[in-house]
Amino acid sequence: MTAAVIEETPLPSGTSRRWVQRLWKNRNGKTGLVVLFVLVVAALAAAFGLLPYDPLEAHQKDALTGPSAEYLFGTDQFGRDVLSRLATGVLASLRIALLSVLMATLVGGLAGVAAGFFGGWVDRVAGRLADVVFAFPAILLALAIITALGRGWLITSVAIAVVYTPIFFRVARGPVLSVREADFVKAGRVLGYGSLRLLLKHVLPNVAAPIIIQIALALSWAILTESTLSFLGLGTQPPDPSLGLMVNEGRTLFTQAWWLLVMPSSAIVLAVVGLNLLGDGVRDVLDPRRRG
Amino acid sequence: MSQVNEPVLSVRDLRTVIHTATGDAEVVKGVSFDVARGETLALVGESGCGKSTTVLSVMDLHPRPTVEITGGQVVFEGVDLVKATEQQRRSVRGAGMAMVYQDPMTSLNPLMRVGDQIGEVVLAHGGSAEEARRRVGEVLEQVGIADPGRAARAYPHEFSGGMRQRVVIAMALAMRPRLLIADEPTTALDVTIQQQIIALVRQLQADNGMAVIWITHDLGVVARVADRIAIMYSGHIVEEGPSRRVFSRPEHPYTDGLIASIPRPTGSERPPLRLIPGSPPDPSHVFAGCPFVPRCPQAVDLCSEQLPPITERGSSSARCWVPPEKWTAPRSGGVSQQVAQ
Repeated sequence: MTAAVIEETPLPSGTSRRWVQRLWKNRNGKTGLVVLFVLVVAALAAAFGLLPYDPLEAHQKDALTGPSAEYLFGTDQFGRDVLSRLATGVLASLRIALLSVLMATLVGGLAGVAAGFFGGWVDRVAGRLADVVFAFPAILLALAIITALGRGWLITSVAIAVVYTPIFFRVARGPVLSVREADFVKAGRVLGYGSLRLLLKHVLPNVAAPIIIQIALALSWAILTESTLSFLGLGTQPPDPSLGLMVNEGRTLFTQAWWLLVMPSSAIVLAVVGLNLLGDGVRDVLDPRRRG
Repeated sequence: MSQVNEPVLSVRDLRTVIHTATGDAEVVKGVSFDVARGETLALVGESGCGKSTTVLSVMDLHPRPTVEITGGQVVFEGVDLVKATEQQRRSVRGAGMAMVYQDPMTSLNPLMRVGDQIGEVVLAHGGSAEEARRRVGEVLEQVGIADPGRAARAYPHEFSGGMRQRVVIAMALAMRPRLLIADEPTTALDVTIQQQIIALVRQLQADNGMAVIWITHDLGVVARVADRIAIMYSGHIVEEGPSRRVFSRPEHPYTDGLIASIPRPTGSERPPLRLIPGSPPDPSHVFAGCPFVPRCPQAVDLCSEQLPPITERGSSSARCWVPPEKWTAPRSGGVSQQVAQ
């Protein structure tokens, strides 16, 4: 024991970790969470068969009925319930968005972290690959992949994942470059830590914030891209409902049945805006420079 | 007491080169020094004189491939680290020798609890979780942190600078290193906290006989911590000797100039502060003679023709052609350690 004096006692810890609570206090974050909640509830209802009607069941006598107590969002030209179809479409969109963002995060994020940390040829090869993918317009690349590989929700997910992988690569690589040079990483080397330990325990947690923010934003883009692909007829195939497909079908009947276009379009807008707000909220909460 | 004089670290003719786009620059030009058990060696010099590169080479942490050790030996407890395998070197790092950095604000991982960070050192060197936990408590207590249990659960941002530096020192102590390298550990701290950290390191040294290399450019700190001083200039150790001797009878004009430039607020009159004119040479510049010649008030013709050898003068040694008794220009006259403090 030494005679040295303590100049400060530590504050109670753990306040910085409850970021979900702080997200709820953030206006953008709260809106985003509410929207996400609505979408997830709709998707879960579709997944567990809790919808008012079977989304594929035609009620010919009720074709093109406007919104009413019986059919909340109206029916389409075959008398199918728009609300049920919408919820099923949300389920399809969310499933593809989640899967594609998961793949893009894993592949792009890990490649970016490795490239930034190890540098050298790993960085150069991965960086050039990312540049090549980046060089193609997103929708065009996704279209090309679907055309080459065939249709189905798995392939649609892969196509969207490929498009967004380079974004995750860059988002992950940048902060790693600066964290790699931080004194605590150098200190780790001095203490005899191996590269894997440094990478997983010291570098990765310190670059997690931008990646998490990117995930929230990429989810909204993925929903938009999936809707676009379905709208163009390359995503989900009829008769399965999908937001993009419903917009495309509703387009032709807009003058007779506005709800066929408005309902799925609003759902897309809601999902994209909501997830964007969620991304902003997460950024506000995680970015130390924006903390109040 | 025979152990006291046995060197823990023995560096012989270490040469380190930086490869740059415009050519190679030798920044460590054949440096030799020993550090004995329980001893503090201060490595002093201006920015860019090669002191940090020397230490990074000793720790085998020079950024590769731009910086390369081209010759010499770094013998730590009988093992030449320059020739050792990466495995051997890694087990020496952190366990045999540890390092404390300049800026305690950035040398801790902001996202890990202090206790976990200290414990990780033990785990990384093959210790058990139980051992790690016990050691965390021990070292936190050793560095003078009250309530180690609570401190271990805290995050680095909850501590002030001085407290963080204690935590960094605690991490360095986790594996009971025989050599601690302190790279300007007090530069970023308030003067009062500086005192505490210096006192702490001295105390730890007295307790467990650790050898310390203290890198600094602050002669005031040197006077308080060092048993011996090595002055570096342009990649050479230009003077080395016992602290008291170097301060009272500098053997090299550069050392003399450094001492003369210490402000002395206690004097009855206040002469203008002396300084060494000019700035250190570009490391890539190769000199035929002594690199200090352009700034040296005592230089003779021989100095710019041939690099002076290291000459023993009593308990000190210096790399200078002109012994102090033949100096013609005014000098600092040396300073007692009390004045330097």
